[in-house]
Amino acid sequence: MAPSRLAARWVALGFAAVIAAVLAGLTIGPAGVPAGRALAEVADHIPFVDVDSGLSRSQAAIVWDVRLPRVVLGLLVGAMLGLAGGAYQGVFRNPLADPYLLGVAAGAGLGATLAIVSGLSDVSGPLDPLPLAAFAGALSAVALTYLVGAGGEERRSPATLILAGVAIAALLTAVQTFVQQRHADTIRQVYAWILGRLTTVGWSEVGVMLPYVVVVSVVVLLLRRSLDVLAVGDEEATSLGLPVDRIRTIVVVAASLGTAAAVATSGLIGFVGLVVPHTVRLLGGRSYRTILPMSILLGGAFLVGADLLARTVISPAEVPIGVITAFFGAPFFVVLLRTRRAGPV
Amino acid sequence: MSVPALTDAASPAIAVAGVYVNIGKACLLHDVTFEVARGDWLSIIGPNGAGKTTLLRALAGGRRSEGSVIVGGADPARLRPRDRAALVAVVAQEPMLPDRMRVADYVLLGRTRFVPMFGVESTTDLDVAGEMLQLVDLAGMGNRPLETLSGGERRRVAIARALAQDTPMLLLDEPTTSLDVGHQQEVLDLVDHLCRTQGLTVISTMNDLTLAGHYSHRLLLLHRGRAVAEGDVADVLTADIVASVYGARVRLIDTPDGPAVVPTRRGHLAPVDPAEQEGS
Repeated sequence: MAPSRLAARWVALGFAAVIAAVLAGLTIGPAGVPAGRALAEVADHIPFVDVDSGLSRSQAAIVWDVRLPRVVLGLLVGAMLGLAGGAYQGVFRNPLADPYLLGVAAGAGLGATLAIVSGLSDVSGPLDPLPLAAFAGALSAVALTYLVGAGGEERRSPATLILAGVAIAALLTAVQTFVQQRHADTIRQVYAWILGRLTTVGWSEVGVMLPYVVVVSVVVLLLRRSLDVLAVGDEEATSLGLPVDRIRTIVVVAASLGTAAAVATSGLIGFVGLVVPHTVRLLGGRSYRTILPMSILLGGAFLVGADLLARTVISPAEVPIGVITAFFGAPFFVVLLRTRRAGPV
Repeated sequence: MSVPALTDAASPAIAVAGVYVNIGKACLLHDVTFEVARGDWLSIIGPNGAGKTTLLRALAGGRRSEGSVIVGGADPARLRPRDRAALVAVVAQEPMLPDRMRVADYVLLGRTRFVPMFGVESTTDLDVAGEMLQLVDLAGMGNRPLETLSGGERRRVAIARALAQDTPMLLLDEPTTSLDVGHQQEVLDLVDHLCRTQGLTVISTMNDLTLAGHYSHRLLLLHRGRAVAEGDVADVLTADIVASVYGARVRLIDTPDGPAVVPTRRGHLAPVDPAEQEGS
């Protein structure tokens, strides 16, 4: 008698994908730094490792202060979105659930728009208030959704919360559109933010993102068995002894916090949170013991790969990364859906 | 763990007194009173909409009710899910069997009350789940996806999950619905075996009156939310009671296992061969 566990070959595949994405992200770029030397430069920063990369100061700075933080941020944001999507799909037993389900996107969009039109975000650098405004907007939206959707003793169901999210998102999007129309001069700026990007200012964004990814991953991964129990529905899960409401609240709060942090640092990058967990589910089975850790690894690898394309296809200009994730994610997912037996959540 | 102990051996496993369930203006249960002794098998019978499943839900603590529901010495509606899961295991009428979930993983769900919220199953949990699969005669099928099981196997795997919960009481909602006669017997024989060997207290809702009478020890007949008859099979299953409550034309034929309830055609009262009709 053996339970389904995370298979070693999946872990190996996940780490292989992450390593491949990181190596590509570090070595490919417009600055013409030789690949081997770029890797040597990174290795030189590992404690007790002393390698002479032979790069000039500016080349070394490109590798260490531009490419590496961007790659690491891509890993963190992709991991967060993949994990949050998988977690939402689990607690809501809804295959369409994505990290932006409960109004996170609309709230962040409104927050960011307000920051941009008010001119606050003209301060650039680590003191940029735009991410803070987006973060505050995202959290307020989720709080509002929860207040509306989970309030009231009776008739509380996961569907109520999702519908409340749809309503709040519509409301906030309306406000955001109105504000945007009133300030047409900033429309490009707002638009660029909404489509998402992984530009970094040194390591500060990574520093913001890292604690969220660590804490949220630990909390949600510890609840992986509970998410499997939820597959039999709220009533049966409760009769098995699972505190369903408490589990759902913990997972939703954790995933929403993480998503808000991701949105604040890199805008609204679509499709990762929807497609990555479903891809894992189609290939590796329905247990969240596999779906959650693999969504972390493959979400990170996917986003780093997408970012590589975003900054190279029309170099030196950049394509918004949200365009890349949808352009490549959608056809891939369609092929997968048609060739694999579709499994519900 | 603060599981209410079944302290006194003489006290009933279940004591329901003056229970009402109202939803809006609809009265689903009206002043229902009965007791179930430990190790007994009570079947709740009654026409569609009589309140059978509602009563089962009230016993499982999933339905708020007025009056007194005492299960294993406690009111199930007031217990935390984990404590309630230590008292009663429920097999739903149509258990949700998630696609692509393996049989072993499904049975292990029954061990949820033994697993810490932030944890996974222990080796004890794995051993127990394996034993239960053996008990319901599904050993060796642990790796099968649930959707590949037959109707009878699906019921048995759901019962295995309930048994893995290791409770003194088992609630079964329509355990034989949509099964053919062979699978019906297979499932009820299993429950009967468990009732005898493990001392389980069993409450089931049943649509098939003959099977209800043959297998369970006592019957509770509900009609429009009221308990209209309760007691030994012979006292509840009479042609008069069935005719008035179900509005059905039936004749009762004595068999060695108890009465067989046989529906008759309008204006057609030809003698029926009991051997042929048994267990239908």
